[in-house]
Amino acid sequence: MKIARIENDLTQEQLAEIVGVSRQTIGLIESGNYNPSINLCILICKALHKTLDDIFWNE
Amino acid sequence: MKHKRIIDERIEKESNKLSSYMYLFIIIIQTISLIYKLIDGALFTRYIIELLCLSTSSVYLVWESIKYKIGFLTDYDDVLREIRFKILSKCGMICFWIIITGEFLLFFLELLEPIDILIYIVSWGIPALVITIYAIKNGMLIWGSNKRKTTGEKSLAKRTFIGSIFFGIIMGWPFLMKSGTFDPKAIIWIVVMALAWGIPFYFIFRLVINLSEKNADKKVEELESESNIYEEQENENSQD
Repeated sequence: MKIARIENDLTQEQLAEIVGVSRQTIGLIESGNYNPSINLCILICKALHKTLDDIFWNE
Repeated sequence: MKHKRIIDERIEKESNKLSSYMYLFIIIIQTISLIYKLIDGALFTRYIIELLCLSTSSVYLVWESIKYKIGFLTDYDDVLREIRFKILSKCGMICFWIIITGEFLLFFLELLEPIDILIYIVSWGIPALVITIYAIKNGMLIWGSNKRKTTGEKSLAKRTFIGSIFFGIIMGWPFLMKSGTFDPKAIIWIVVMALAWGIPFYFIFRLVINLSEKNADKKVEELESESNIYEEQENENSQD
């Protein structure tokens, strides 16, 4: 997710603004310390122009 | 662009969990208080708040449990646990507002004994204090971003202004109509009381949020560095 965010030239704060959560929550998701709800996952994927598989599926 | 107050799902879940514990605390205190007052043969007005709290929150609890088809004594998965916390949290808020409003009204109608006031202050004050301290320590009271901070501070100033005027009027009301006649000097008293409450409240609240924001950032930084170390170790292991 962090890579996708950087690819989209977004800061944690900007992504947080788009999806409507706090900057800290984005930080916790990126570090794997918070499991977002499916609704939040979808919002993040839309903001980063990726699919759920691209960002949240770990092979 | 106007920035709305954030409803961060992570913070909302944590708040619901905390408020649900507040509900349990309030219910225990209110039940003990009700039993004590019934045994003591107190007037109905002295335990109407307890009755309203217990009945309203119980009805809401049963209603929501039926709506979501969840039993409160069974095991839960994560989703059901979150719903349970949400319901209990709302019950807590129902009780909180019944106590605050009821206490305020009955106090001005002079229907409460000092012990009643003490019980009500304990039942909402202790959980409120514990929740606030926990929220600051765990970085739950946050602006969320710099843009939201600007809007949030403006909104806080507006709310504090309204609240302080309300406080000033309440505190100055007895002086305003002294001996049945209007006393203009009481307006100065109202303004002084409003300022005495509003200014410290605004700055203390701002300080509390900024402190909580710092704690939240610190927590995220610590967890991020931990996960970076873990990732580096993983990479080293895969290279070996």
